[in-house]
Amino acid sequence: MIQETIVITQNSFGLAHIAPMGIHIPSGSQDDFIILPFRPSTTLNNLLASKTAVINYCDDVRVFAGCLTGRRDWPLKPAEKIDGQVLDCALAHTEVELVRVEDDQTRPKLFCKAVHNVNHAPFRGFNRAQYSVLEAAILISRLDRIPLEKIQAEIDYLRIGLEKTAGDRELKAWSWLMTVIENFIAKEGVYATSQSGTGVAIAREGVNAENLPGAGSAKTGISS
Amino acid sequence: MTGMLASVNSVEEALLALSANVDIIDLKQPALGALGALKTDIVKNIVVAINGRCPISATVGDLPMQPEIVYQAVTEMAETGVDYIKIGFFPGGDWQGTIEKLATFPQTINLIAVLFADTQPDFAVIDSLAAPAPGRFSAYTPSMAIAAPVPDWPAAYTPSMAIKNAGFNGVMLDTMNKSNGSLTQVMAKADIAQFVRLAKDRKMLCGLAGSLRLDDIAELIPYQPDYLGFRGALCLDHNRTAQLNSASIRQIKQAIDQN
Repeated sequence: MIQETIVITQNSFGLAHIAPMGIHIPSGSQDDFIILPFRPSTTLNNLLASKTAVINYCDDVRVFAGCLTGRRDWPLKPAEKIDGQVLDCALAHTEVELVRVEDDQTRPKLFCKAVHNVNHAPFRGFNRAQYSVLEAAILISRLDRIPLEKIQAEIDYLRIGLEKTAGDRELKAWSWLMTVIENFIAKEGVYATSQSGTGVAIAREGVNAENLPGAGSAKTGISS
Repeated sequence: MTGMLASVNSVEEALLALSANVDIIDLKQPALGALGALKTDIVKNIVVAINGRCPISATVGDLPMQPEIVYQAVTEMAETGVDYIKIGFFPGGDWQGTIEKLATFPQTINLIAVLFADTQPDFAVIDSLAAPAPGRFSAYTPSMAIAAPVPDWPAAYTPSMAIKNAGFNGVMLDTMNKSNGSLTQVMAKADIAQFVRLAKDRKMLCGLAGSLRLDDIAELIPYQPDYLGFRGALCLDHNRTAQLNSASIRQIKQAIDQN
């Protein structure tokens, strides 16, 4: 199965890189994880160099939406067994070591093994608004490839669960994603109706990025 | 008048940039990250080869914003004799502590803060960068500073840098994620304009960069930044980790000069 997680790696100077990613977990396995970052990407560079990563399990969807919209400054704390960093708001995390690489031109498979698991806070159940934010995050990562009508229809559906069940964190995350969609629509609208060239510039992280390292990995991970 | 900054990673590339009359030669290793650092022995060789014929800037690498780590890297890079040192303000870490630590740097050095447009940077940091550093110039007053500019600064930029600050002479916008489009694609025009205005209000050298292409020049020149920075657009196939291309450098330089 694939779990939506926040993967934190760091470069040789200790600069952390935070990326939402879908991590593949082979059936029946507790300790094996396959991370599939795009080439080129910071996560790939860092993991190959340091041979370690922290997989964070997190129900604060602001982190997922934030990383897709340029908000990468999330509080971190040191990992316990490896040289790495842990998301402060993680419910739990797993510290992994790279054991094998299956190379690929676009998405190498990095086989990792857990060396340490930590629980920080209890899982308090499912929330539909969190699901809505994750799905909306996938949509904004594909704005340039999915017809606008389909995106709007899906957003309308996701908004139902969001409006019924969201807390403050979910509303904030949702607003970041909606800003990206609104800007995209404004820009597309301008291009479609006039040649004035005054299109609204937007934060395109996760929007037009087939090969986008951090968010691109998130995109495919989240959606796969 | 907007100048051109060209990022290079070897003596050969630096000489190529020099022959194209770029305004600042910037040293970095694109393969090692957004602001990947070039080894200091290579930097020294380039400083010797350029021999004062063009101002040189260098990055200290993709470092976490921890005061001691950044200070140490700046110390090592300062010994190479470059004119400017660029420091990336990456998300997280201790921005204020790092700024304050760098303000204690014993010798005069021109520091450039690099903010990343694709990380929702808070422009309020520009005020911190521009704040007078207590102890650095104990008898600091703006009028005195203007009357007595530090002689080492490249002549072209002396007037704008006469008001000294927390060690930072300049600030630039760049992008952290190089595969996500150019600066003009990841930041709204109004925000770019505001950034330039804030930097200029505080008499700081102001640069714009981030996967800039030929088409971006006409869009950015009206904001009147002090320089536009390029790497990918100067390379074969616009690949920032590939070799510099002489024709591309001249084409970009010409476009800046004509705008």
